[in-house]
Amino acid sequence: MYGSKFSCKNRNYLKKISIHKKFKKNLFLENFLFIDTKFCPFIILNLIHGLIVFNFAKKLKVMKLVSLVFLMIFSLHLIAQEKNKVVLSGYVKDSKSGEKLIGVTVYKLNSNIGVNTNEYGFYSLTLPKGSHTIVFSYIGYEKIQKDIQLESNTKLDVELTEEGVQSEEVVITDKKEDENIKSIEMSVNKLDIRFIQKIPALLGEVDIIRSIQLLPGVSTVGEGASGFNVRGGNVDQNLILLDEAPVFNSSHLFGFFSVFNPDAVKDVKLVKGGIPAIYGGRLSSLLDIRMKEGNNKKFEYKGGIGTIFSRFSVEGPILKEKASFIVAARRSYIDVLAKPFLNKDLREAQFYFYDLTAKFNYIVNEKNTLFLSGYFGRDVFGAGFKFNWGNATTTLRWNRIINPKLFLNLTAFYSNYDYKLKFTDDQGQGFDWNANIINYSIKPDFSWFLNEKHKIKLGLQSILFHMQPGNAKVTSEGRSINLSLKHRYGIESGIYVNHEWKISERLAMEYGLRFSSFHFIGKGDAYTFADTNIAVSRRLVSRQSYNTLELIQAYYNPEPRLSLKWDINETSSFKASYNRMAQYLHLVSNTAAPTPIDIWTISTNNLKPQIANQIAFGYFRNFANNTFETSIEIYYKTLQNLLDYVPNADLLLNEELEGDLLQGIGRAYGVELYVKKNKGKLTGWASYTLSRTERKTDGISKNEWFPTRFDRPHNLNTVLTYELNKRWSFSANFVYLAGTPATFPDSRVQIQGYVIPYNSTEKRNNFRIPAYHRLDLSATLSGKVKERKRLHSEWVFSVYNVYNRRNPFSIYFRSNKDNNLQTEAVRYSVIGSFVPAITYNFNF
Amino acid sequence: MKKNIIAFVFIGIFVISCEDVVDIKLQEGEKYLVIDAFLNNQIKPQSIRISYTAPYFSNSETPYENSAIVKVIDLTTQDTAHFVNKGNGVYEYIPDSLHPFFVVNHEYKLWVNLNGNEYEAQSRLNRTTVIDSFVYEKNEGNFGPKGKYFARFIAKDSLGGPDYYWFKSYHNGKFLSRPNQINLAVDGASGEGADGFYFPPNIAFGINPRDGLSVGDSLEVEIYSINRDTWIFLRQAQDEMTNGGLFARTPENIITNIRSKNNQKVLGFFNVGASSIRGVTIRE
Repeated sequence: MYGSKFSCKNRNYLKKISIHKKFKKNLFLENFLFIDTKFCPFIILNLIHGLIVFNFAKKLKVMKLVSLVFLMIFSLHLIAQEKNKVVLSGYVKDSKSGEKLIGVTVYKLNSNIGVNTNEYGFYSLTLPKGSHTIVFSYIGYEKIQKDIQLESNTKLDVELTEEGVQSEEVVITDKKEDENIKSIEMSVNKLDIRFIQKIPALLGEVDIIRSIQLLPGVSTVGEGASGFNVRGGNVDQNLILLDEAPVFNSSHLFGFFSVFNPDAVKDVKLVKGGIPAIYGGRLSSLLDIRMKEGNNKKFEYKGGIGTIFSRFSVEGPILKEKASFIVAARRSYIDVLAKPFLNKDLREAQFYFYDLTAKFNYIVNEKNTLFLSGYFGRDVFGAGFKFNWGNATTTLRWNRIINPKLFLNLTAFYSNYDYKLKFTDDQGQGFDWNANIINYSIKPDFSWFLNEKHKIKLGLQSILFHMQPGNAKVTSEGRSINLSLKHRYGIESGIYVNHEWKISERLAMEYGLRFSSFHFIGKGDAYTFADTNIAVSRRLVSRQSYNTLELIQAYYNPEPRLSLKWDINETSSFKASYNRMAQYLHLVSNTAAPTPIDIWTISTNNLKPQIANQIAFGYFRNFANNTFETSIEIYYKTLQNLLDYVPNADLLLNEELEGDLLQGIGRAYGVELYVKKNKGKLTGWASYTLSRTERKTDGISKNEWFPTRFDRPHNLNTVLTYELNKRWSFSANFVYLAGTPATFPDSRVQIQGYVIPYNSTEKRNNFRIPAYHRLDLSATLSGKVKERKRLHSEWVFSVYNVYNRRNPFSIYFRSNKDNNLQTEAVRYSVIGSFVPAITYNFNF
Repeated sequence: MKKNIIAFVFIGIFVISCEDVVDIKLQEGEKYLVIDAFLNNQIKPQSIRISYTAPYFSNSETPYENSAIVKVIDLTTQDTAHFVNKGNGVYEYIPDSLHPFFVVNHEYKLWVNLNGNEYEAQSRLNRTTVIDSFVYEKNEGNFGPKGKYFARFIAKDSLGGPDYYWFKSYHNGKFLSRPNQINLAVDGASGEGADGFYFPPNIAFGINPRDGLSVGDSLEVEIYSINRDTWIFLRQAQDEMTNGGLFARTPENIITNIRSKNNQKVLGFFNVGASSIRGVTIRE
């Protein structure tokens, strides 16, 4: 089910491909391409690889489908060559900061002709020659109407002004009022960073990932756990993109705070279904986080002092209206405060975490813009030992308006997640251990605004993975032993085409195909395991070494995507979508919550890629002049090749790890109800999800279906904000989640005086722990607004878990501390009390 | 070690989390035979206990079985040690000091016959290593009980291997029997590879009672050699008995190395090992 296999042992990977023969003798390639995979050569490599995939694809029948699509696009292009039509295009920006606005609706007054600005604030609208009234509309901003006389292709950049910035009415979405009905997107939640900042937060720390957890269809394994689960998907099935670079661990402090600094974030979008062909590589969702570009008109400073973090950001122009930057930093400071109170043996202890986000953009000329953005974050702990982990990403982007209808975005990124553990004692004994996931990628993406009815996206992405599952060294008496695992390499590629088509006034369709491939390549070792009893570690039979670039295993997957929208009337629509996704990267973790030292592995000759198929249907309806948005969505999803583990699996520094892994199937289905109030003093949303997510793996739970750790059939979220006056606002949220399933024992086995719990049914997750519910409140007091005074400040008072409930994260079983024979069940609550907090924010 | 570090950091930061003992009703499971056979080469009575699984909250010794026939056979010499029932499910064998039955590097087979059903297991008596000395120090730091003593032993893994050890600690003659006091090593580390190394601090300090030692206390440490699968078994048992927190593992059923000839379900473990014991008395 996982695409066709391809393998060519003992043959040079490059030799296989005719397109490369001329490169074969190129010393530069041979010496630097893989031996030194750092920075520069990867761009060339990935581009080449894109062509390889294209070439491979040709050999497969899939190519016929692709050429069919291209043929169709070509014919569409012919249709689009209508006479008497011209193109109006340009960027839409914020008037105060020059920040480009994503998703602004640009339309011809009293007509059905319109588009939205893309991720880079660009729009392109095809119109007949003549005079038109064009409206630029964006929630939270004053609408602009422009009368224009169009004789030829015209470029028009527009600046929108925020509605009464001070008496700011809270805005939930950045969409046009009835966007949810009119847009073809479904299973999508967009969050305005300004609304996220109003949600009561744990310890007052505004948190993007925690806000995501309040959306329908999203659950977690429990409070404080890293990541989130979307529609029955594992944590590793979310593609979290920060300015298009993937972030592998989205948490500070094991899972309590997310790594994104809200002051540097512009736009947050979660896509749970109907994922367009542009995106691939993860099964369950796309969390697209876009960073601010930085005010290009004047300098602006923002900051805050919270319970955990203190924050500061600066943004401003470098060259007025041409180049700007933003730098935002956060650091926890408990360690600084605690230092004077610690004994000298602990004064050396380190415990802090920080992140630094920076972006620079340069408008080269009318047609070209460059962006450079980076993120660097780390958690550091130590007291006699050193333990730290974090992500680093760098993204370089080039936006080019090739012609008024064709927009190119070329992205290249580098992303690295790593952790380090180091210990040395005074006798010279110690260990030093680190692991890395490094990837390099290049991704040209073309948006082609054919005409008002057709929009085409096509492009290519190639990612080079360099996995270092563990570099470890143990030292004693000056002697050291190397326990390092071999590095692994893989290349993931995707070519895609996506067509958005307004078929009629009422019917719209978006469909596309992503053809993805994965090549597990040398330099490295491939293992062969004996196929024995499924419930124990498989025995290593042979090991084969491969040279640099030699192909070990290849996988190919066509991933069709389809979305349909039918407007029932002005205020309601019906939508349907299907998507197939492939994932070549797996998080290896058998703990309740993922840990920072979990390793990721690429697909290998033993590990097949994960595959998901999802269908979803939705009914969307707005009431009272778009004051209330409502939707109901149902989905059904199947998953293949999900990881599970043999009992006693050894996941760290285990050379034969693959022998301990099992692959099974999964299914998830549910209904999501959603009501949102967009306007007025009271805004917010309520959502209820009824769902089920199950797994089935040979060798686990008697080979029967069992619920996952994050199967929470009932999930209710309410988020409300009330604007009392210009100074005070209040927010509340209430969540209710059915308890997580857990495996409980029924028997005791007594051995050597120990009482070991035993489950004679052998069924996993056979019980459910009590439900989780919680109420949080917050109040925001904004400082008085004075003319000419630049400083604005606010105080945020919040209480998390108001009624002091001890929500169980888990229930586990142990012997009483005085008597092993006496056993007890223990409820473990991650947050066992209410948590008040005060935060002070300022900007000038 | 890696687990300890994370646990340490976690405890340090999250005073906010809490644990409460709660009432849970559990179903009664099926009853299985359990054979508990950990033997060593000391010239002391060796015992094997045969029992059944019981409801998890039964809160007493599990029900025992007195009617089995129990033997251990030395596969090198074909000698047999007969274990005699002493009541309460305990079967005992007293070794002969002149002709010790348990010899290093010999392979042993356990044989149990219960009502015509035969059960077997095999284990090799591996070498152990010896403690060179103890070092102890009064605790004046931030962590742990103040003014108490904490000891570490100094010992090295035997060269060659791999060797698997279980460090059993006795405080004033009483075995430190808490699940979190199960102290294991593979060669000179927590995982395979550190051949011939000194045991690292997490193992060397793992011999202390939770509240530390006082002047006059005695501490004895037995280094008991185990087989690789015994190491896996003990590690798993420890995980299953202390499986709390944010990073709890998915609960699993404990493995066994005992096989039934008639496909009867059976649990338990058989290990023969060499013991070396050394102690220290705390002085000012």
